[in-house]
Amino acid sequence: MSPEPVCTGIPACSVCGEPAIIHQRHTGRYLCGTHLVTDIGNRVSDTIASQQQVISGDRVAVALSGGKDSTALLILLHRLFGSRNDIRLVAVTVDEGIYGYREATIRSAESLARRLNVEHISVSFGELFGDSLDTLLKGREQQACSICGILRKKALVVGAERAGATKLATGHNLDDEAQSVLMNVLRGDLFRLVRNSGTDSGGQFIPRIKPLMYVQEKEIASYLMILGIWEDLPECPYSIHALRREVRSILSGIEYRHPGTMLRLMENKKKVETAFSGKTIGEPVGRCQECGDPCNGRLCQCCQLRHSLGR
Amino acid sequence: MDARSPEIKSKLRYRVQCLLVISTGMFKKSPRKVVPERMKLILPDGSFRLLDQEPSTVEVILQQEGVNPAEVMVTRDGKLITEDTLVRGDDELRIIRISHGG
Repeated sequence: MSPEPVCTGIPACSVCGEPAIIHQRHTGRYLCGTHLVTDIGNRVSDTIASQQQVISGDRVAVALSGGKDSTALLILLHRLFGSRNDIRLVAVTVDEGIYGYREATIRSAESLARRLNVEHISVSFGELFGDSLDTLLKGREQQACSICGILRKKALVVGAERAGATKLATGHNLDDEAQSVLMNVLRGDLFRLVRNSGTDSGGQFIPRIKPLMYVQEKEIASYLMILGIWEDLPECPYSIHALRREVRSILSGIEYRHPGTMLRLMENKKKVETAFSGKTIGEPVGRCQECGDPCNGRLCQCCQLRHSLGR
Repeated sequence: MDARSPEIKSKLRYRVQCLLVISTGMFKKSPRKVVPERMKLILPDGSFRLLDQEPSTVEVILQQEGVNPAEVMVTRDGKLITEDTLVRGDDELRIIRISHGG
C-alpha cells in the first residue's frame, strides 16, 4: 500500500520548487526567500541602469532614516556599488526630533552604516530650524506630514550637499510612488503629477533617484525578514493625520483585489509626463529670494513655512 | 497573462491541491493530536487570540480579522508564509505590520 500523501500546504517557489514565502500577485509568481532576494536585486539594478540613476563618478547620498525602506535601499546599493572605486555611498540621516519614534530608527541607521562601513552624516531639525519637529508642530499637528515633508526635504538636501553628493537616493517604494500619483490626482496637483525630480533638475539641484520605485512595500519587508534584519519599529505618531494613510489603505486594498493597479498607475504617470514633456506647468523654476534654493515662486516652500512658523 | 503559463498552471495546481487537502483531511504537518488544539494568532501589538479554526488559508484568517493581507507579513514558527498557505488548529501565527509611516 502506498503511503498516505502528505501536503505541507505551502505553495512552491515558481523558480526552484522550495517553499514560497511570498506571492507576487501582479506577476502570478511564488518566490522562496533566495529567489525573492535575487529578484529584488535584479529589479533594482534594472531600474538604476534603465534610468541611468547612478553613473561612474557619482557620489550618492543615501537618505537613511533607519526604517525598512531606507535600510533595504542602503543594503541594495552597497551590494551593487560597495566594491566600486568610481562610485561612493554616503548615508544621510535626518533627526526631526520626534520623541519616542526617531530614537530607535536613528540607532538602527547608525548601526547599519557602521556595519556596512559607509560614511554617515546626520543633520537635525534643531540645528537647521532651531527646534525639534515636536516643538514646531505645537497646535499644528493636523499639518504634521506637510510641514515635516518640506523641512525634511530641505534637511536632506543640506546633508547631501555636506556630503558633496551628485545624487540623492531615497527609499520610495512602489506603494509610496503609486500613492503619490493618486494623491496628486485627488489634489488636482498637475505640477507635482508631471514633475520628475530625477531628470528635471536642470543642474539647479541634486537629482533625486528612487531605485526601489518598482519594488512593493511588502517585498521590501520580506526582503529584510529573509536577511534577518527586520526590526519592528514604532509607527510615526503623526502619521494618523496624513492623507497618505487613507490613500495607502484604499490603494493597498485595490491592489490586493486587482493586482498590478500600482504598476498601472506608474505607467500612466509616465504617459502624462511624456505628454507634458518640454512644457512648463505653473511658474518656471527660479531661485528663492531668501535662501537661493530653486523654486517656482518668489519664496521656496521651506522659507514660506519658516515665515508661517515665525522662524 | 497567458492562461497556459507555468505560473498560472502552478497556481491552479496548488489551488486544486488545497481543495483536495481540506476536503479529504490529508493536510498533515505532524501526526494529529487526540485533543484538538486552538490556533494562536499573535497580533501586531503583541497581544494574541486563540481561535477554533478549521484548516484554511492565511488569507481567510486575515479577512476574518479585518486585516488586508497586502499590509502585513505572516510567520508560522518564525518562518514567512504566503497568504494562500494552509494553516490549521495547532499552528502559531504572527501578524507583522509592515507600514510604519514617517
